[in-house]
Amino acid sequence: MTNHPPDPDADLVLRVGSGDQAAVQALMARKLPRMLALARRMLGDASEAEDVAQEVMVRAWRQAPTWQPGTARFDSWMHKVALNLCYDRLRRQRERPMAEPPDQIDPGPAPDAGLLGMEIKDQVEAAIASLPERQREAIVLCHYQELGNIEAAALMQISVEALESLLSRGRRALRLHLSLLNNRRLEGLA
Amino acid sequence: MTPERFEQLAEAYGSDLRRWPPVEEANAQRLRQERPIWTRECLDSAADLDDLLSLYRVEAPSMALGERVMAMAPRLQRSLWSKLLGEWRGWGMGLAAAGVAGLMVGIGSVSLMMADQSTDVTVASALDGQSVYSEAVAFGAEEKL
Repeated sequence: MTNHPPDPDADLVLRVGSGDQAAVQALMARKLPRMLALARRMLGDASEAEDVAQEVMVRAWRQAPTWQPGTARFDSWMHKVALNLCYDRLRRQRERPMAEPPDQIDPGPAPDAGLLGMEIKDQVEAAIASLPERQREAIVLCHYQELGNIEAAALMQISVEALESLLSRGRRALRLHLSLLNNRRLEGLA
Repeated sequence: MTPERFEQLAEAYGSDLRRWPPVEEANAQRLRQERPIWTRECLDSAADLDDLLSLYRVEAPSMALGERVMAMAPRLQRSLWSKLLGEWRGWGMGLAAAGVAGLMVGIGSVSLMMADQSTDVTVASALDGQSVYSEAVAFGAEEKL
């Protein structure tokens, strides 16, 4: 039998389930920014992230009256719902037919040239968006959502060792990406 | 903990030991005491990336998003209120029925010249019942508004 640590949201969720208006507002204040941040960093699109965050909250309202404390943390359940919704959207993006390939090589600036002009925070955003999905997910869950390694690995349905590998590869790729951009920017300034 | 393991953990979880697996923390702290310069360099290197990552902040939810989410929540509230209201109406009807029954008993009792104080209590209950019912109906009207 597994001993689950106490769920810090359990009381609030029970109150939401019984129709407590103050609890509804408190849960929204606690979780909506968290779900929005998760979706934003996973999808890289503000509008789609809002749709996902809204859907997760609506499902939370529906789930609360029948929520059984002790099975899983409510926050983990919300993360799982959000990740599934994000992956549905990422899959749809991949399946969307691409526009006609251009006949000529685009004479505009190379993609990196655009990145060079960005603020550092935008470079970080672009670097995270460029990661493979699983590496991005690992970094978003552990670094930004501050989940423990066991919880993050469980959400991703992988071992802790596999999670560590994804995190290391992701961070190495980010370091390389960001250092290359900064080097090129410095070269451009010289 | 070996230095290689320390490096692996810093590469995976970053420079903040609070993000590291709790089971590794005591051994990591011991290695920091044994090799302070090397472990500091290792953590500083990880901290550079942590600092960059922390620049990627997501804006707070917009007012419009908050309003949309709350607009979904009150449906739950309304349905719960409706259920509660239904129960209140049930109680009101029950009390009213009990009151009517009591009233009839009371009238019968008066006609038989056997009225006693319990009848007054029953009549009072009937009036209370009507009062509760009226309040519940009035509340229902407010809810519909």
